[in-house]
Amino acid sequence: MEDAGVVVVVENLVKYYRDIAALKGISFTIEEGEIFGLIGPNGAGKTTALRIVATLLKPSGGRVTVAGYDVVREASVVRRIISYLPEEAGAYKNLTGYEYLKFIARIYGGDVESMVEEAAHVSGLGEKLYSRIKTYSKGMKRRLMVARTLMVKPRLAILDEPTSGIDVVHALHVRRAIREYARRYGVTVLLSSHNMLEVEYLCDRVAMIHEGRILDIGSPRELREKYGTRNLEEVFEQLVSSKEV
Amino acid sequence: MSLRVLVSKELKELIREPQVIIVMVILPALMYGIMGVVMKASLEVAAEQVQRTEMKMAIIDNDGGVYARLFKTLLERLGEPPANISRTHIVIVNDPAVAEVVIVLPKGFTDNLSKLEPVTVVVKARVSDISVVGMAPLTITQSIVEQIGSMLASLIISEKGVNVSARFLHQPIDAKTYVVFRGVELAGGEANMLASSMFMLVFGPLIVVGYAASISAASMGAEREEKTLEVLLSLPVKRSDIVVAKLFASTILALLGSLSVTIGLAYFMYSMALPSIEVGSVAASAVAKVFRTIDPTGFVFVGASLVTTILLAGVVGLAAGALTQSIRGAQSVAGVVFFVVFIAAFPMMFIQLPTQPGQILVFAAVPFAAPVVVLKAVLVGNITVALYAVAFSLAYLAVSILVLARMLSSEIVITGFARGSRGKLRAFSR
Repeated sequence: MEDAGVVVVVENLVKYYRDIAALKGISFTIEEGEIFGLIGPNGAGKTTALRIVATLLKPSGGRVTVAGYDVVREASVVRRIISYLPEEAGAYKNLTGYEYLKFIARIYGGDVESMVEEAAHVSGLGEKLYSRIKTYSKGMKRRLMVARTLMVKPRLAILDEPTSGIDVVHALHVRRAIREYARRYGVTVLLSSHNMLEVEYLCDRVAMIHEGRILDIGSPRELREKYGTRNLEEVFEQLVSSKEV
Repeated sequence: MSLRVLVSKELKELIREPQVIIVMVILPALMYGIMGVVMKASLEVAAEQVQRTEMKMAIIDNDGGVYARLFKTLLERLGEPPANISRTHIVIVNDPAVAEVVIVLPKGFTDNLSKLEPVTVVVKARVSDISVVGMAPLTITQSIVEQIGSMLASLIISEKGVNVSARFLHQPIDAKTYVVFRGVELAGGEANMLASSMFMLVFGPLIVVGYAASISAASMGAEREEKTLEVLLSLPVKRSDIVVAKLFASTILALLGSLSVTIGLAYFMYSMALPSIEVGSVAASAVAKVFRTIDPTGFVFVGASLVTTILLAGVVGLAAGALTQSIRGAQSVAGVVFFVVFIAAFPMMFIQLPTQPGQILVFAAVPFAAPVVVLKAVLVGNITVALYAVAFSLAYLAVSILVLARMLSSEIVITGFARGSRGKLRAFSR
């Protein structure tokens, strides 16, 4: 039985692609309403971990549960309570932004109009929401995608590099929206990023991941204090260099 | 210089694309090879079926003259294989009701020939199928009548001298042909028109099937190319619902596309060949005559076979799309699917429906051939074959949907095929 208030449990998660180990036994838990970040460089295993939690990949070993449901055996139940934003997510180019949001809202069910209204606010697309997605810039598409991920108020939002491709001003807007959804609606967030500053601003706790292993877990402040550094980049640098020595 | 660099880049980019090599180089060689083997085999089967062992023939002699009797004697002699080209053993029967072919020698047959004037005999053939094989009794009889005509002409010329008209020399005995199919009597020309129309009736559905495969492949290929697949698969919807939704949409578009092709083709035919309108109306009238005799259940079977085959092609197209990275790749693979459909269905047009239970099962079980098989079966009134073909088609469809739904649940659609090279794998192992 999981602890009350724990939404995500990852236990000794292993993932192989044929003979290559992408994840070498990572473990962590995420509390209800917490924003948890997986941070590390490209190829560290972040996306693989997120895809497993999102039920898209099957683990080679270990166990993952979301709200007590196993992501392999109870994948269809898990999909009802999560909302996933891949790093390279596209949207249907011949739909308008509004039609796309409505399509997603209707899949999840509930108050469709209110969901779409909220998403319109989060995306900040204004009248452009009624234009076809193929006319959007990369940043506009990303804002639309973040908005559609959050608007359904999932138990767990899985965000892979949420602000990738978004300019500074809109990235700030998106980060605020993520925090607001976590605080106001109790949405638990699991995100990945290699932008350490973003993670420092957003996350309650972070896991430093490198070559398929978690090097350390803690709040940004705890980690900075523990390693006596000014920011998470330096924490990561210390962790990697100490491992290599 | 810069052009050479650009050409070099283009060639490297194209040659290193496995799909280009497969679709442009390997597949055409394989496809035409396979097509040759399949067509040869099906034509051999058709030829074997044409070389029937026995054919019952009756002669109604309204003349009673010497050449009419000679005609009958020559027919008996030619009926002994291998005297005739079809190597068919002709059995002369007295009762026209039990004969497959009836030859009517008109009054004045002997008189006309004696005067070195051409005569016309009536040939009525009862056929089981409007196909190359099914029409064999008529074509065999026509060839035999031609042979007898030449023999009689030689004999008459040797008796009467050489002062004969070119027309007599060319065709001393002409055959006015009729075909009785499903109790409907059609003139020989009408029957040929009907056979051509049947070809188009079969070919049309194959185009729809091909469209369905292509559109559904593009639909799934677009999900990958536009990077929408991961989100779609993470939504709280059943994998089978995704498959069915895509199939439904692809089928509607395939039908619309086919309608557009049909309208365009009809306009083309109309504008290019106005004189053929009469020919077309003869064909339409022949088709209408035969179709009026078909039980409505038959049309239900034809519809069911067509719908299931379109959906089956759609599922295969979706699977092809799911395994490729782009719309272009998916459509290339769909082209191969269409070729497979064509190879499976096309030979069926030439082959007569079997009657043995084992052969019926094999015939009905050929994937994608159901529309052709069922149309033929319904036309000849063989509902058992139609039933089996629809049942097999439904079974293939159900299994393919399940397989595709499972495939969408697997990692292949997310990660592609792992190649074992660390560099390649890192792309998706972040």
